[in-house]
Amino acid sequence: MSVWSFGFNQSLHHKSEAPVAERQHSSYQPNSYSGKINEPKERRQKDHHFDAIPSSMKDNAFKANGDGRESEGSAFCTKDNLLHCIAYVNQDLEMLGFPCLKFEDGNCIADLYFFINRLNDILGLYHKTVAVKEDLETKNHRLSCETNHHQSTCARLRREKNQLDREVGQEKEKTRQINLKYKQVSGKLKTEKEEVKRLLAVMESRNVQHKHDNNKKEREIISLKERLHQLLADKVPDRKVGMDLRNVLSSGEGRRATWKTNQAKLEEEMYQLVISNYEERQRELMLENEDLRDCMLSLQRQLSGLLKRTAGTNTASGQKSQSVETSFLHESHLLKEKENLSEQKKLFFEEKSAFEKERRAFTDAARHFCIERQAFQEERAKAQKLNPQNVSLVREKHSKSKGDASHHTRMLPATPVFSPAKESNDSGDSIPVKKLTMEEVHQPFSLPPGSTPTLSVAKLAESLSKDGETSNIPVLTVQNSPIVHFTPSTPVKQTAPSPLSLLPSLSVAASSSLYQSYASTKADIHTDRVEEAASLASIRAARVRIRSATQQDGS
Amino acid sequence: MNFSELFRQSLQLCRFSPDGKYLACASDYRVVIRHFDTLQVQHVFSCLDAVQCIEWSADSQFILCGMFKRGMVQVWSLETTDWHCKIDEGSAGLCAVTWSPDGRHILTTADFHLRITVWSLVTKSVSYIRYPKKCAKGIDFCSGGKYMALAERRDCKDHVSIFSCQAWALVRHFETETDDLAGLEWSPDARVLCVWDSCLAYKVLLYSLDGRCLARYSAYDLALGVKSLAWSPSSQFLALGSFDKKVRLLNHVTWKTVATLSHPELIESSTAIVYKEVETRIPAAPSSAVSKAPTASLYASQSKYEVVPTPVKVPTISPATNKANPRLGVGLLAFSHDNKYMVTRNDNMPCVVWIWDVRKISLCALLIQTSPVKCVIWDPSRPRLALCTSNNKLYMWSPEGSLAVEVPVEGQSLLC
Repeated sequence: MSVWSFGFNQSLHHKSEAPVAERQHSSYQPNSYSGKINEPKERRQKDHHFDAIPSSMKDNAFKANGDGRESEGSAFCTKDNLLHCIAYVNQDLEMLGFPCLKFEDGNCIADLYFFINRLNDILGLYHKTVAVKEDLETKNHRLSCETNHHQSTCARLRREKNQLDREVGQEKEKTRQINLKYKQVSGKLKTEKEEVKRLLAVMESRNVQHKHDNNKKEREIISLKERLHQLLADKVPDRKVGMDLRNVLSSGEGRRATWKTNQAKLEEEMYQLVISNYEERQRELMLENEDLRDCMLSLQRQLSGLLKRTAGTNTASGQKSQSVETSFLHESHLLKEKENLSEQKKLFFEEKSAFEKERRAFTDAARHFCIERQAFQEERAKAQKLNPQNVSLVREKHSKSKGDASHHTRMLPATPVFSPAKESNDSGDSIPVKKLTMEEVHQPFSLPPGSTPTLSVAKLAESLSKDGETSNIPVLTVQNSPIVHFTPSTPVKQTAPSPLSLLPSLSVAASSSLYQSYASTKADIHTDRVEEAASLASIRAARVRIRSATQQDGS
Repeated sequence: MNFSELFRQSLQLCRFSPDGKYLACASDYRVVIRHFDTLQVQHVFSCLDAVQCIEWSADSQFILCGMFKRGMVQVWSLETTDWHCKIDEGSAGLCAVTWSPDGRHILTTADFHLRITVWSLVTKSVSYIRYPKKCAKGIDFCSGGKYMALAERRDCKDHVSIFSCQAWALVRHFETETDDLAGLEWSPDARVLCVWDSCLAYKVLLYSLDGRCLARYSAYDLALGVKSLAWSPSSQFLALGSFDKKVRLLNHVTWKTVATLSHPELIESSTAIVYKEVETRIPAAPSSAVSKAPTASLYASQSKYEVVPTPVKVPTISPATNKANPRLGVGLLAFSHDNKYMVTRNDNMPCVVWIWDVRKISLCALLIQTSPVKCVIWDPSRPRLALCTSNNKLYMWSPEGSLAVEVPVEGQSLLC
């Protein structure tokens, strides 16, 4: 007889750790327990020894007969397998902690009491287990009821929550819409308020304007009444009303005075004019239409050409098209640059020619000045010979002399402060300025490219004022000392600028050179300036007298 | 730059003759004709009373002097100085006088705009036109001098009469749709007559020569309307300056707006050049001789323009809203004679002059002065603008730049 060691399990359902072959209790049917006890698969996995037990015994081992009857052919313990059964039962008893059947030489020492006690123990165990089972079952039942209850409440609450969520969503949506409406309405209200304000302001201004007009009309009525009153009261006969004409004039370009033609002819003429205007306008519009059509066609052609080219290269390869595009870009850039360059070249040449002209003008001016100076010196010498005494000057009265060509008005200098639109040094930018002054080429001065002439102008003006010298340009200073009147000779008249010229400013180089020329040429006059001035005046007066004398003689 | 000495004048009556040869200057009862170049006196005419108006005839042969207080007009001839003409309106009084384009007829307007009399210097005949309207611009002659448009008011309604200037006969007479006609102006090509309403209603009407209404334009309702109006010299655009501080350009084909130019307080345009007048008080160098000039002239303020980069804030004044004809809106509007530029002034920014490029329809230059601008005039031959602000300086603008020059004034009397 083999003694099998097995682990003692605390619980009924616990599996042991020793690897055990699973006991196959497929035939086990716990009918007496109405299926509440778990299947016996997990049970007794320690039972190695069951392999040794014949299958008939295994089958009958747990055959539970509810009534306790043993069926004849299916008894657990028979004569044959007594020992085996005893071993088996001992196993269980030991496991449960009850004293086991004792063996001695093939005899079982157990007596009836032992068996009854054992039976009692087992029954007690059974009752306990049943109680536990019932307890567990009730607990289980209760728990399952509770879980059902919980689940149902959970489901209900979830449903409620969903519904509430939906309601909340709806409420939110409503509030959002109401907010939107509110915003719209408040916006409308604001615009309406503004509109009201604006209309009130308009009404106010119209009111004011109406009142003003009314006042004006009232005042006019008052003055009309006054006039009427005056006329009614006026006993004096009308003075000669009408036109007093020395002699009738001839109309315009020798046109004959026409008779009063009838209305129809005039109307016809007017309509003809209207029609001709319309015809002209139509012609212009047609021309414009043609131009626009041509333009559109050419654009269309260009566009289609471009598309064809790009389409063609697209079929070949993407790179090619890209290169074509870049080549187009390059081409256009190059063209643009070429155009710019040609423009700049043109401007440069224009500027160059302008400079040339300027230089020529300067030299002319200097030459004229020299001639003038010489002439003046000669005259001075002559005058000194003729008239040793001083003659006071007569101030020009505008109501006096008539047609005195020699009588020249004084001009007062003023230095304008010029701010150019662009302060750049490119020759290109300032060329337009040049162009403007080119028209005034007769002036000896013109604007240099890009430089602000204020300083140079001021300098020259100062220098001129310091010298108090007259020049062929009628720029004179106003002094309290005897006035210098200079009668310009005829060549100078060409160079005399119009009184209100825009840009008579100087180039730096030109001004300095001119100043130097002034300084050099009048070095000898500088000393006895005042006497010169006086003698000039005397010369002038003498001239006036001579001329008037000749005129008198002539008339 | 040279300035002549001061000449006497009264009421700013200085007019150049149309051919540009003479300058007429009226001072009290005398009218002085000078040669434009040498400023020498050619003629002096003495009138019977203080002169309020002088006008050259179109062929520069004659000059008329209107004396409104006496109700008389005197006409002088430049060629034959002994020729004279005197027109006496008598008790009817005189409030305006003008030449006709042929230079041989004179139109006088009697007091209270009772009637307009056409005096012929050729036939010595007289014609009367009744019911002329008293408005800012009631008479306009078309270029070429063929027709004259006259605003009339009969039976509390506005009418326009078109007269032929050769025969002085009425050619067309039609009623306009305005409530209170404020002015009329022919287009420079004499095809269209523009008629505008007073500022209480924004209404601009365009009539053809025979009186058909070609178009109506109204930018907005109720608020104050058109303040100034100008045709472009090619008749392509009609510029309307209104009290809402905007200028609207209408095109001559459809009479709809091509552009609306506004005058904002903050200029951010990068293409416009802004010139700001800067006054510097520097002691001017006194003349070297002993000067008895008052010391104020030693420290005269000099002005120059500074180019200011955008953005620029424009100085604005807010006008009183309880006064009629408020200082608000575009009151000055003029095209340059080459049709390239247009100048405007917004009256609530009185120190600022706006210059627009017509080809691009954008702001091209801005001049900010230190005092309110009083008078702005284009050069008749080139794109150049002259303006003054009632100080002693003259300002000019051209596309190349702008300049400021002080008009020199003699400090003391000069001679014995």
